[in-house]
Amino acid sequence: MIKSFENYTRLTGNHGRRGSLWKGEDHLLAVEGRGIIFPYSEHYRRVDYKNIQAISYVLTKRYWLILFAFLIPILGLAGGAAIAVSAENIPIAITLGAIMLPFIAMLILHMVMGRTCICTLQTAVQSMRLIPLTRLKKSLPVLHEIEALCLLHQGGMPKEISDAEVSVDTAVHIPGGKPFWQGSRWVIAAGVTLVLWGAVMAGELFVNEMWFLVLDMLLGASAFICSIVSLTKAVRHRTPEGLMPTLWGSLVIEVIGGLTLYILMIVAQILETIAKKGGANSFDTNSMYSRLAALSFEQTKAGGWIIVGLGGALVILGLILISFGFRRGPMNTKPSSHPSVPPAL
Amino acid sequence: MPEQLFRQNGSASCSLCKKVVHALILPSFYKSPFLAPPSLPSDPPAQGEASCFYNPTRRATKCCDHCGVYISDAWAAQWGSQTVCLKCLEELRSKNGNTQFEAKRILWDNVALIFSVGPWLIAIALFMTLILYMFSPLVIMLTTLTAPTAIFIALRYWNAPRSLVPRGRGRLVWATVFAVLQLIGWVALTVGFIYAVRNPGIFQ
Repeated sequence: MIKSFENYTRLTGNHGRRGSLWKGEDHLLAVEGRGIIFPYSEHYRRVDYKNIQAISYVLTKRYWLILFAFLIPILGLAGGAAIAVSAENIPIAITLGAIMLPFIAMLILHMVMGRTCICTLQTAVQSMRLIPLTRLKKSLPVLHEIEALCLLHQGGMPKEISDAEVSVDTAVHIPGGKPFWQGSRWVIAAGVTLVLWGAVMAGELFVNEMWFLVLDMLLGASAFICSIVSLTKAVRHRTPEGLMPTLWGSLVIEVIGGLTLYILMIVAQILETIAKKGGANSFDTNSMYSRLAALSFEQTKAGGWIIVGLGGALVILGLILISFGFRRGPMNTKPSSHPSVPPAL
Repeated sequence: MPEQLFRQNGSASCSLCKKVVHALILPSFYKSPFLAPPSLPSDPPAQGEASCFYNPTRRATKCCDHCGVYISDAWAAQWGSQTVCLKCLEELRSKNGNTQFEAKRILWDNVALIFSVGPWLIAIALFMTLILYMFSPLVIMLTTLTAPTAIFIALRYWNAPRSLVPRGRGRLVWATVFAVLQLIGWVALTVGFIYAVRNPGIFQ
């Protein structure tokens, strides 16, 4: 792509869908592509440097999503390759390794490109997202260049602003803020069910009774529902530090716990079929549940320790949630002043 | 979020989503947009003064750099270093030709390219699903329509302006070449099919 045309110099971007940013004499030109796969039309937006009031950026979670999107197939393929090597099936191991290589290359590229972000320009009449700027490492030099150009066209900061003392109580005076966390019965319920489920799950392999498995499943379902309701309650409040990670963590551990039990159930069925040596392969639900209920700690080996560990983790998370459920934040206060407006000079 | 939050260290946490926002506040933020309001209708032109072409009750203060009429502040827009009346601004923004004002362009080279390669991309995507692979041949058959369309678009818009950011005719050339190859393939397939029907013993 060319570096400059007419009076414009390229800041970043290309001919793709994200478009590009161009530095003009007195304005910034944003070229935005619209379309699927290729851009079928281009929209041009021009912002005078003298009108830009603020430049902002926010780091996004897209970085971690992409990271996990590459990591999961890599780990899956690596696991498959390891199993193939242990079974002395080298051609399959090599094939899986070859499939894994592009994923590794893309993961490395993604990590080298750095954190993802959203960059925005604000004027008096619009807030414009700078679509070509998606990676912090690439964005910061561009943003600083735009800032320098804006300062050049706008002059310095007014003296009364630069000299003014800044004292803002961010906890209270932000207009439109969420209400403070005042505890929740749902979080207490989620904590209690998690503690009970954790204890039952840890004891699952030591009590070989059907009613214990049913209790385990009922508590698991209750804990999952309570956790989801708690999470919906929590996102509507200004929560204390650590509550949201605990709720998300407990949800993830619950899903892993449920999946582990399910995998154990399948493994128990397969082991039973192998033990019969040619017997009918009966994957009916009743027999699978009864085999899982009859599974002992000695039979499961490492799987048993995983179940006990998950049970312990659920108990700890449940206790933390109970403490959050009773916690009360400061009382809500309405902002004493109107939303801020630019001060008159 | 109040700007005071950013004046200490340039970043603050949003009270709604908890995300940390980094912001650079510029001097323009503190300049009131109400310092120079446009002249009001109660400010009519005095005897011998020019009046606004679009609203004669207003005093003309500027001249449109494009059509040359006298205009008041309310009917004037500053576009970079130029002053234009609102009517000219609308025309200049909607019509192609003036790169300084243009708001939108259709990229016909990309349109031709997608008509040329699009069905193949969809067919590959369907094939890779391992469930809908049986629809791949149907999508490839669409090239009997899309390939001539791609050639038509490429030739029709061969000289049309492409992106505002200058680029060559590479995409148009690739679209045409790929579409022509597809048509040649279809012709060959049809001729071969007719030949095979007329000579049933050819495959024995």
